[in-house]
Amino acid sequence: MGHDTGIKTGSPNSFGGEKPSLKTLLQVYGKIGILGFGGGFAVLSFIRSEVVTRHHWLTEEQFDHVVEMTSFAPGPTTTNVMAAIAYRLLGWQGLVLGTVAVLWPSFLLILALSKLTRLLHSVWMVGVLRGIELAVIGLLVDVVFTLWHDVPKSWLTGGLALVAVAASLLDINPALIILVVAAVGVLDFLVRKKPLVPPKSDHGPTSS
Amino acid sequence: MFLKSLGSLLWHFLWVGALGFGGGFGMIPLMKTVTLSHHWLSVSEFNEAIAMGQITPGPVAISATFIGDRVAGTLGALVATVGVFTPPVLLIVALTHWYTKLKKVPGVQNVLYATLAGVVGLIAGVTIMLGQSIIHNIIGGVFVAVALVAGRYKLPYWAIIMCAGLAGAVFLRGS
Repeated sequence: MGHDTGIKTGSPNSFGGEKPSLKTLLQVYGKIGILGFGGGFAVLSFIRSEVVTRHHWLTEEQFDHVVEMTSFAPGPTTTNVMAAIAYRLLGWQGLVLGTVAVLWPSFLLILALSKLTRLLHSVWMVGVLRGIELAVIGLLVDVVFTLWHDVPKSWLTGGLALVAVAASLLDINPALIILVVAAVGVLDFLVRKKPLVPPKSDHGPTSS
Repeated sequence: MFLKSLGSLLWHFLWVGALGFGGGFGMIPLMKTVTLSHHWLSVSEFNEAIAMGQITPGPVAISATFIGDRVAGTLGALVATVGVFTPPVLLIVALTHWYTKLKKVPGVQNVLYATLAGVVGLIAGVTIMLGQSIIHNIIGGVFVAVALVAGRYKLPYWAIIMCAGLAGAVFLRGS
């Protein structure tokens, strides 16, 4: 990892790449917002092709570094990566307007779908909604498999995951569970004074 | 009453945004608790919200828009969306300035992985709970299984949901 990828300031254009105009940034982000179906890796490589390959705002390595950084933040990886890049390129203005530019297409579309599905009450529509409700369950199982793949396996992580399943089935507030689990991570370090994973892997989880 | 709903949406979705670690899907357990405990949506409607978040471009967190609209109309949708995205974006700014230092803090990786493990468990728990209230018969089970297999084979989620909707119109009409 080169030293130039280290983040020292949040000042605009700190990647050392080309500095876009606000208009260009919003056009590119709007395009990703309209075409960025699917979330996760698919959209991340789309974002990469736009901001790295096409527009040279930052290097591949810097892009990976940003993705790694976002694993420490809550929220969707894709919008977080785009927010981080916009902020480094154009400051607060880029951050706020860039995020709005990515989100407005999906915002309008889902708003329309919400209103539409509430108004339409045909037997067909009921069937469509039942179908997608069921599919979501299958996809969530897939999400569990995919995310678990990125968690280093140990007695601790396995145990915490099982406790979280149980607590969630007992209807304990997930916000509380997240805070407790994070606290256990702190305790684990204080007791064992070792990283959870041997230092060879210096990348955080990067998938969606 | 309306203002109270908006305030409640904003407050709760700020929390969802602040604690939704593990990528966009980490928000689902938090959204479910917030949404169902306030009786904002039924379990079915909550699943619809997640599905709609998948077939639109953009991250699943956009389901907040759907929930907000059902609670308090267009303004509710706006408030919920702003709420859910504000904490992550602010934390990204903080990280941009302090990430190099944060990475050197001993133990930070332990906390990250412990949190991720917990979040995966939470999503699993929510999935079980949603499955119990949504799957009523064999056909339902088949829908779930087919979606899972399609997901494992890396078919895009939006395409799987669209197909499930079409198949639902045929096989689950009026059910």
